[in-house]
Amino acid sequence: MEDEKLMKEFFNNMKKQDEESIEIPAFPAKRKRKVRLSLVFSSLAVVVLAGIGYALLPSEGKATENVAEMSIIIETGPSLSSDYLIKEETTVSEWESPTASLINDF
Amino acid sequence: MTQKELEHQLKVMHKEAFLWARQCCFYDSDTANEVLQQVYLKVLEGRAKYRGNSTVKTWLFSVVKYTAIDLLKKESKFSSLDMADISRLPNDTSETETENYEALLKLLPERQQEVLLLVFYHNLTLEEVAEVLNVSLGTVRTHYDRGKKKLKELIQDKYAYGR
Repeated sequence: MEDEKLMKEFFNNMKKQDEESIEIPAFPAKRKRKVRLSLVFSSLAVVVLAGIGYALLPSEGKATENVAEMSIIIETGPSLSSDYLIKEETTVSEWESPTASLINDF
Repeated sequence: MTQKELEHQLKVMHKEAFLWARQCCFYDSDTANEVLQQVYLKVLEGRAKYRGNSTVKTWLFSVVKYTAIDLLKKESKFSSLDMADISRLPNDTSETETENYEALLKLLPERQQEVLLLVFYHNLTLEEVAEVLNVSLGTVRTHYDRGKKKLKELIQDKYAYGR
């Protein structure tokens, strides 16, 4: 029992001294997730580049405008008649060599 | 116990946990702070889980103890307290204004120091000490008895020869 008393006294005094001399660091507060600046800037850069790219692309309105300016004139005349363009071709079975007359049968 | 409740418990026991971490780190406050940061990180990340098998304090002290061992091993600061030099008795030091309890305790083997600190400083039972240090109750009792005897001698010597 005497030992116990001596121990308790020793450690109680040690505790008191610690309370006076030791600085207890603050309990770490929960930090909000830090938003990385580099990530923000790179995201912004991507958005800006996408915007610039979109602006530089020819829009649909402009395209129709250009198409409207183009004009295709189709002229028809005697030289372009469909009869002239479509030729009648013979089939293979009816084909005759143009030099067949030169062959002599003896 | 929910994560929020556990965090609250950690906050309540922060001071005691820091003091225990400091005692595990050879009374160095900076290392103790580092240990405690790692302990809280382990808890938040779920690497140290409280399963409700013991009290939160016992569990926390155990996590602190083993985190301190790991950190000290990494930093190669580990040195056996058994090798404490007898010439470091407080009588020989110049720290006369305040009692040097730590220096006196350092003269005990590491296990005896830990057991006495957990019992008398942190008010744990011998069973709880066995859980914290992950040793048998018989081993704790042996260190407890030997530690008390040795510390009593040191205290008596100290007062016999004056400060």
